[in-house]
Formats: sequence, structure tokens, C-alpha cells
Amino acid sequence: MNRDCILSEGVLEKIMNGATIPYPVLQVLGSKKMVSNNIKDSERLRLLLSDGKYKINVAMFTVPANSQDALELYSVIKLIRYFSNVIRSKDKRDMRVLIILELELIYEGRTVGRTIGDPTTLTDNEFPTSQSSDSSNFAGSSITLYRRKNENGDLFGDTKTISPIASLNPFHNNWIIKARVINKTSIRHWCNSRGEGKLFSCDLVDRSGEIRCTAFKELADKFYECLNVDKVYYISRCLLQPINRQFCNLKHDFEMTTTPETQVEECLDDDLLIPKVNYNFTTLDKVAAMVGGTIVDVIAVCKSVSELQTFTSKSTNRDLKKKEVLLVDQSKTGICLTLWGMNAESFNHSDQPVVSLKNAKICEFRGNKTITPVMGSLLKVNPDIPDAYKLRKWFDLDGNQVEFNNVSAKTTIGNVPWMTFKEAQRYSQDHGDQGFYFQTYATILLIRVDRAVYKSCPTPECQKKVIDLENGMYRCEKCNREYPEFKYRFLVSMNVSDMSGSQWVTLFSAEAEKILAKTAQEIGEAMEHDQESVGKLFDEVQFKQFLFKIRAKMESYNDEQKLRMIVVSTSPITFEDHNAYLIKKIEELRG
Amino acid sequence: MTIMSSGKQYSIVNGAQLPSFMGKNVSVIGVVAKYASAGSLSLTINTTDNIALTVNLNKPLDKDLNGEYIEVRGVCENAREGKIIKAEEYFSFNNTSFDAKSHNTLCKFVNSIPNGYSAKKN
Repeated sequence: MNRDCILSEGVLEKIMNGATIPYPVLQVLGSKKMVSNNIKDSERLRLLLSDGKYKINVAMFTVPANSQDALELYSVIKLIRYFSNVIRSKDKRDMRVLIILELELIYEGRTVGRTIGDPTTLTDNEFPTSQSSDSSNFAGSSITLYRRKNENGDLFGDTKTISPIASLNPFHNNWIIKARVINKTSIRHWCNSRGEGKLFSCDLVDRSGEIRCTAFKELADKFYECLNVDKVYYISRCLLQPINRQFCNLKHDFEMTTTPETQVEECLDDDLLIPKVNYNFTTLDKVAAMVGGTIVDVIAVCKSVSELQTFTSKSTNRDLKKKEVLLVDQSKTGICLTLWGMNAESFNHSDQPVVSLKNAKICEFRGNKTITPVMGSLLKVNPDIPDAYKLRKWFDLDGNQVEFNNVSAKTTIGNVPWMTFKEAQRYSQDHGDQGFYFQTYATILLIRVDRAVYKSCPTPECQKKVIDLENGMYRCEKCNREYPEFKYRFLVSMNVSDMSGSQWVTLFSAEAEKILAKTAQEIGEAMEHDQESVGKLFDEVQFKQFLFKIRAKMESYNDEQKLRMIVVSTSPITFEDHNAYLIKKIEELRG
Repeated sequence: MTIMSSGKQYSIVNGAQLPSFMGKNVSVIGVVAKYASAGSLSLTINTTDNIALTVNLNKPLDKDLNGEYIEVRGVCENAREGKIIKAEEYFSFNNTSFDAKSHNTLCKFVNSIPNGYSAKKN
């Protein structure tokens, strides 16, 4: 085969002039590793590439972590995704570089064995820095020149030369994008061992693609009000970094972080070419039939809004704010929209507005379904879309009179199903992951005495175990403080049995105190001085019967799945209720 | 279902079921209707379905009974004045509340639903 025809001859000249050539085939004539501080597990190579006629030494490629060192000398490669950027060097000369995102090896270097053709180096004067063609939908796009700032430093002078989002990368500094915000999270706070701070993120979209932009700490406050969903902005001077797939799943190799120099300017002419949010609505009756965990888009009218409820979560001991909004639509179904935290506080619409929700999650909690916004959700009140107008009209005319089938109607804790332990264990095989509640009569067989109490943080709301610093001080990790004292709290593990079998269950302080009829403090102190009396006390409780309401959940400890049961409430047995239950069961069985 | 006690088998019944258990050993639970003083040999109870029964005891009562629930075990006899139980033993429940309604249902179930657990020798 005539090797000389393989390479895309002359293509480099065109590319360096700003043209877009799909899938050029080039030869690697040299490569040099570049030291990178940002990107771990992958190396950046600077390549000397030839197209048979010309060669350039300003090509960069990031080798992905799991590929072999594919770029031997003389390899012939095909560029799958690439683009070129103009970089302003310090002496005001513009230099164009070629960034390769993805390539395919056509022939291995050792197979080729020699330089194909007789390429000459394209010098810098060959790269004109004039404006070139606009980007096509192909990934290889060219960046136009960035205009100087105005005298007063105003970034966006008279002509704005816009870069497509798909072309953003860390090597390119002076760009402006024109994009619509399609998604914005609320300001979130974090606190971990490395420090604390706050952030919010938004997703930006234009015709070429989408990218996530995150603002941290003070910049979060600065930009939170500036960037509003559905509006178009000119944005520049953000830091580009490789995308962290743990937090973001957008189709872009990079993500943006705001810097102190970031500029955001609202674009007043709404460019309809920039895509808007795309909805795919499901009617509420179908939502009611779906499995919990599914992501849906819905649009409905808020028939009623509950009061802001504040309560302390038993598991995390944090204050949670919640609001429940009853949504109804033309399918004559009602479902509850659960709003948490900031969403709950800011939702104050009492005029029965139309609400659209993109990417809401269906939650199944204790048997009833609600929908709730999650990390990627978008909640809009009275959106400007035709479905909203249709709903409004329907509701105003006759929708508000219709009876709704509320699938989120609350079941009180009194309706917790009865199960024996064996039934519960079987049930957990299918439903254990999300946790479920049941109640049963059981007899206490055995209580573990040795680990019944633990030393806990003395502040009233905190129940975390404190670390004994051995110097008379105790440290609570959650409150991040040291205390000279602690309080004893129960964490009792006991074995109970009903007619089907026995099960180890866990009790926390409130319930344990009911059963043992002593406070944790008393037991803790008794354990220090008088172990025997503690043993006797625990023996007294043996073989007592109670009605337990239990929460069962599958949890994994060190890769092992284990069914964990926590007693949520205990009460002494009332025979009337138990009789009634048994009678009901017998009648059911009789048929 | 039967109770095994001192070697004899008693069927748990309520007032309405007594006619079908004539001459058999029964156990009836009822509330003492009229004040019965210690030393008397008979008392009247109202069963859980409100049928009055006369109970004739073997031995005199050793303490007063009034308004309590007692369980009477004995043989059922019929007389013109009403139903009588010739009691062999009785037991007084000392609790204040008694779920009479459920007990009534229990009697119905016990005598209507076949017992799958009994070791019957065919």
C-alpha cells in the first residue's frame, strides 16, 4: 500500500488557520511529557505532528489513565476530537495550539518506521490571528480572537465574540460564553475534616453543549443572585478543571469554577437559538403507579400548602424544615410534593400556582408516595410553557371543585403492619434496602449488659459518643468541642422472641429506659461501682412481654449485608388490642 | 378445643352453646351477677353473651364474690328453672377489666373451626 497517501496532507495548515477538518490523519514525529499539577493519573504530552506536508510542535494530548503509551515515534493517528486555541503569550504574540481530546491509533510507530513525506515546520507567521469561522456542531471548533478590554476595563465591549461551551478547556484563558442557566442548586454548606465552606452549582447550556459551573465560599454569595434559571448570560474568566464524575454527570470533559475575576453579565436579548429546558411530563395518576426512586417531570396546580414544619431528625439529630404541597392535575389525582430546607422556606405561594418540576424523585415512605426535588431537580412556579396555561385554565374552570384521589394520604403510625420476626426477615429480602416498619409482640430473652451504656456528649441535642482523652476531658467530634463531663446514654442490644423466632434488636435511650425503668445515668454509674446489681436488674426484665414497633433495614458492615432492627417504640401489652388483632386474623383465615 | 386440667377435658363455651354440651364437661367464664356470700353453695353468673346460669358448687365459697369474673368448670345440666352447671372447681380472676367480647368470639371460634393440631387417633 502506498504509505504516502495515508496522512491528511496539508491539513495542518488549514487547521492552524482556524478551519475545522474532521478526522485528520497525522503522524507523530516526537513527543515530550509535560509536568501537570492538576490532572492526576494521566500525563500530558506535547506532540510534534506531521500531515506529510507540514509539521507543528504545538499539539497537546492528555493520555487517559488506562491506555497504554500509544504514541510511539512514527505512529500514525487519527484525531477523533480536537480543537485549536489561540493563546496569548507574554510578548503579545498570539500562538495557536492544537488540543487533542481523543485520538485513534491507525498504525503503530514500529510498523511505519519512518517519517512519511517531508514535512516543513509551520512557523508562527503562518498562523493568522484574524477571526475565523464560527463553530460547527462538530467538536473540532476554532476559537476566535479575544478582543482587548475597553479602557475602563469593561470586559464586554461593543462586539462580543463568543466561544462555544464545547470548546472550553483549561488551556484556554480568554473566552466568553453565552449560555442559559438551566439548573441551579441552592447554597449548600459542608463541613468535613479538611475544612468547611459553602457552594452552589448551576448547569449552563448553549448550542454546542453543556457545562457545570460551581461557585465556592464568598463567590457563592456573590453569584447566587446573579445567575438565575432560564436566563441567558455572558460569562468569562472561570477556572476550567477536569470534571469530577462523582458530583457531575454532564457531557463535558471539564467543569468550571468561578474565580475572583469571573464576570457575569445578563444578556438582554434572549437568544432563542440557545436551547431551553426540555420537559417530559408524566400525569400524576401514572406517577402514583410508579416505583419509588423513579425520576419524573411533573406539572400540576398547588391546591394547598402546609405550614412550615420544623422537627429534629431522630437519625441525624439535625433540625429539618419541611413543607408539603398538595399537587393536583387533570388526571384527578393528588400527590404531595415534599419540600425541604431552603426550598420549603422559600415556597410561599398561597395563590394556587402552577408548579413544574423537572427531575423530581418519587419517594415511598411508609407506604405512601410523595415527590420531592433532589440534587438535579428544577422547580418552577407558573412557568411560561403551554402546559402551564392549560392547567391553569382547567383548574380555574372546574378543576378546583373536583374530588381528588390523594395517593399521599397519611397513614398514621397506628397502621404499622403486624409481622412476626420470621415474616419480617422474609419481607426484608425484597424491601430491606429502604427500611420498613412493623410491630409484633415479643418477649425479652436476653439483654447484653456489657455494652448497654456509652458515654455521650453532654449537650442536650447531641447524642454522639465522646472520645475519652484520658486527661479528664472528653471530646465530641460532632460539636467539635471538649467537655469535662459526659452523660450516659443507652444503646441496648437485646434478644427478643415472638412465636416465629428470635431476633436481636437495638434500643436507644428513650425506649431502653421504659423497659429497664431506670435512667441511663443510673445504670452507668451503677456499672462503675456495682456490677452485680446491674446484672440483677437486667435479669428482672427477662421474659417480660412488650409490644414493639420496629424499623428494619438492611445495612452493610464491611461488605456484609446484615438486617438491623431498631425498636422505635415499646408499650406494654393491651390484651384488648391483641385480641382484636387475633380475631381479625382468624376471620381472615377462615374466609 | 379443650383444656386439660386434673386429667379431665373441658370445652370452652359461652351461654348459647351450652345446650349442645349437655352432660359434658364445660368451662364457662362469666361475671358474678348476684352477691354471693362466703359459705353459700350456689351462685349466679352472667356469661359473656349475657345468659344467666346457676352454678352449684361442691364446696362452699370461701370468700365473698360480687361482680368479679370467674371461670367455672363442671358438668352442664339442664333444669326447668334454667341452666345449671354442677361445678367441680372455679377460679376467680382478680382483674378489673375483662375482654368479654373477645372471649365470646373465642368461644365461637373454638367450637366452630376445626382443630388442625390435635393428635387424633383415627
